[in-house]
Amino acid sequence: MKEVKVISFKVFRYNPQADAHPYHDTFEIPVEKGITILRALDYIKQNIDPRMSYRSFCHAGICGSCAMTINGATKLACTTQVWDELKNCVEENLITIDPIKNFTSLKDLVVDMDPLVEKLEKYTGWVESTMPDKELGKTEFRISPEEFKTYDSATDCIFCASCVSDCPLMNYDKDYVSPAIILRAYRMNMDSRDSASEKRVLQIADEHGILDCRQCNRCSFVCVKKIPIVDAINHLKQEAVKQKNQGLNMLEEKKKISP
Amino acid sequence: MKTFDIVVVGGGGAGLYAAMEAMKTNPKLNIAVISKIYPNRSHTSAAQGGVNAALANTAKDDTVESHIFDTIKGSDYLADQDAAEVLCRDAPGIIRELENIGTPFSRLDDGTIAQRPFGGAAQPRCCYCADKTGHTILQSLYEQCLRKGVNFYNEFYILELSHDNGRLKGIIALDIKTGKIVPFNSRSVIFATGGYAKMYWNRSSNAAGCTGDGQAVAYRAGIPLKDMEFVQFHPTGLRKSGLLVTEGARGEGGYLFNKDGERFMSKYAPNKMELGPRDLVSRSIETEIREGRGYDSHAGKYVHLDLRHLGADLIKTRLPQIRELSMYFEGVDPIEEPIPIVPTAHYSMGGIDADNDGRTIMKGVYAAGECACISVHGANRLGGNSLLEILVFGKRAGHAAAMEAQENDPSPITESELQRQHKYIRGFHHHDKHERYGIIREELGKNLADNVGIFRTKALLETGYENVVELKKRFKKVRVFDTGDIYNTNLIQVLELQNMLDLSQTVAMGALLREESRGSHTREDFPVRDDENWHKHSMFEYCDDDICVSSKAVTMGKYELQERKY
Repeated sequence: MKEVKVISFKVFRYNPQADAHPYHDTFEIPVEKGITILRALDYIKQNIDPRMSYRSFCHAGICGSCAMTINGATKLACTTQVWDELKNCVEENLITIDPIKNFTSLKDLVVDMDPLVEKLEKYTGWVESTMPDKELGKTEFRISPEEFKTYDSATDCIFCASCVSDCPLMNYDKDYVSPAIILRAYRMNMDSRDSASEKRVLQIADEHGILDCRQCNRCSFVCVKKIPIVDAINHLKQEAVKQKNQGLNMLEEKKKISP
Repeated sequence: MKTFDIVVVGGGGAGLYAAMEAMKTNPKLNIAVISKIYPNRSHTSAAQGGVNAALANTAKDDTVESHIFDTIKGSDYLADQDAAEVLCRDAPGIIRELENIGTPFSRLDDGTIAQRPFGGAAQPRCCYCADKTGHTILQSLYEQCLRKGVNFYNEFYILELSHDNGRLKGIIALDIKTGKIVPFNSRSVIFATGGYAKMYWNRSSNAAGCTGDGQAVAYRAGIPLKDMEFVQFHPTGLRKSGLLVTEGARGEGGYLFNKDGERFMSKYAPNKMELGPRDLVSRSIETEIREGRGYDSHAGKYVHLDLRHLGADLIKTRLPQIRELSMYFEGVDPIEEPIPIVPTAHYSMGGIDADNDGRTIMKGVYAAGECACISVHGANRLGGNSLLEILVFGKRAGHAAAMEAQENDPSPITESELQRQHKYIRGFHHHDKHERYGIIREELGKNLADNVGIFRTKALLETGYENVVELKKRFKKVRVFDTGDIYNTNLIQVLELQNMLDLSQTVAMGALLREESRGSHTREDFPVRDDENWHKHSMFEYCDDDICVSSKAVTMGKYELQERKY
């Protein structure tokens, strides 16, 4: 016997070409046990409203496309079971789906991700290898399994932006570096092959930077990959404070030398 | 209008490597990467298990020669031996390069890259990062491309390869965010759009967007496709969703059981057991199910992949993603229970016919990765060779394009070409259209799984082919209900469906014509490999909505044809 329930989905809608303001549409559909939120949206799109837009790709929790605000909390639609979500409904059997927060909606559940990608560039979100280009491919770096462990979990990040969506600081400072970017910085800085750690710390310690974080732990809590983001923030914060102090000392020295 | 030196279509591993290498070869070049999704979301990220390279870290006596032989044998001797040799010889250098630029790999105690056993390989030569190898490789390549300042056009969808009687002009793409049709005049184009196995829809492990866009666009522009009938079924897809359980699960020692509790691989591959090559293990599972030794459920018949004896520790450290997937999508924790699995369409061996540097018959047009057929996988790809292929041939195509771009002086893409695309897209909104794309898409997937699946016969394939032709007719009546310009996913999905339909016709045609069994292609009515008549590649050319079929010789080398046994 298939177990089926009739469930309503209240979905955020906004098409800037047609709508003066966003609104919500409600769709009532039968949902079997074992169906994910993403498959429910697919059902609505295929059978009720083909105009509804959302991002999705792998359907397996690895590409990071389908983060949404589901019943108020940010989750991946493809790994969230509809039936599990019923316990989080305010109104019985009514699941609300909104775009992720702290981004602008382009259409319906699709948001503009470019500001986050730009931060990846601004905060050196890559390894700058100590190996010169002409030496590449000749020998391996020796990396201990212990070192690998320090950034293993951080490399799980799929850039779904759930942590950015739920970060309270982002809510009033859109230019804040954001937890996802700090996590990247941590991952790169723990890597002995990288040569840019000091630069990165200076960048994230600057205005709109890591020192604004109040460690509410929300990012770690919502992370779909269960990465302890706050540990990464704590680690880099200490580095940042150290560097800031050094910088201040140097400034003091400078003043003494040239009044 | 600006003219690019290189436009890379597709932002997965092959496309990103090509862009990175092209910039390294000549930093002055004007390079664009267009991708229908953000590149860091590409399907490369789903490759869990690892990437082969004879580094000889884990097994000190491993050699490049052994890797070449495994690849050719695995391909059922349909791989071009010169290409397989390039693949395996370039492998150690390219993995070291990837490691050097920051890709995290799991390590051995001596600090070198760890390697594990994989199906069809004589030695443990599969380098990995837990079970997120593809994900970490993709992130590293994307990061390095950002670092080098590659121009990304994210969420652009390719519509057409523009050319003048075979002389390349560039590509025409749709900006998904605005609905604008945008010309990219270019001296060269590299197709790196991934595979087409999503045409099997719900019986596929692929992401929704693995719809063969590059192959279809190139095919319609007159570039031949090769060996399209060879679609690999991965032995272990999750029963309900078709999602993949990596071969790493068997590499780490997982067992397959039928409902009688029998480790049935002992009948089919007594030496390799669960680590036989993918085509063989898939057929074995399918045979067990067909002969009534599978489990039954309302979500279909299946067998068990049992990891319990590996212990909670190993499962948590080396196979965490698998555990997560099983729990999310089957409600099964592999530490406690066996995982219900069934074979799933996974990889397309066929693709755009290309040489060892990715060149196609059209000057200035290259192809790399799953989208290309070079061919290194022949009739069956070995696990761990797909990530390797995108790296090796992405790099080679990027290098070749950078060296050769200046030889081409493309004429501009005209306004009337853009207008034609506008008109074509507007045509989908017409009110006399009534078919819904979702229904056709599901029927296509079911038709292919039922009639062009693991076990094939003439009768089934004829039905399968006719059904595709019928679905193509119905597609002409498909309506796009969303008439807006901004982020119109209704339109994109319809355009993707068209690509899958065009390509599925070549898959069914190739399977029908090839009267032998080789690698992934199993004809029950022709159960034996027939080297005399069929040791050759199938070639497909677009002729006015029909297919012109021909063949091409396999490049041989020092490995002679022999029976493939495991």
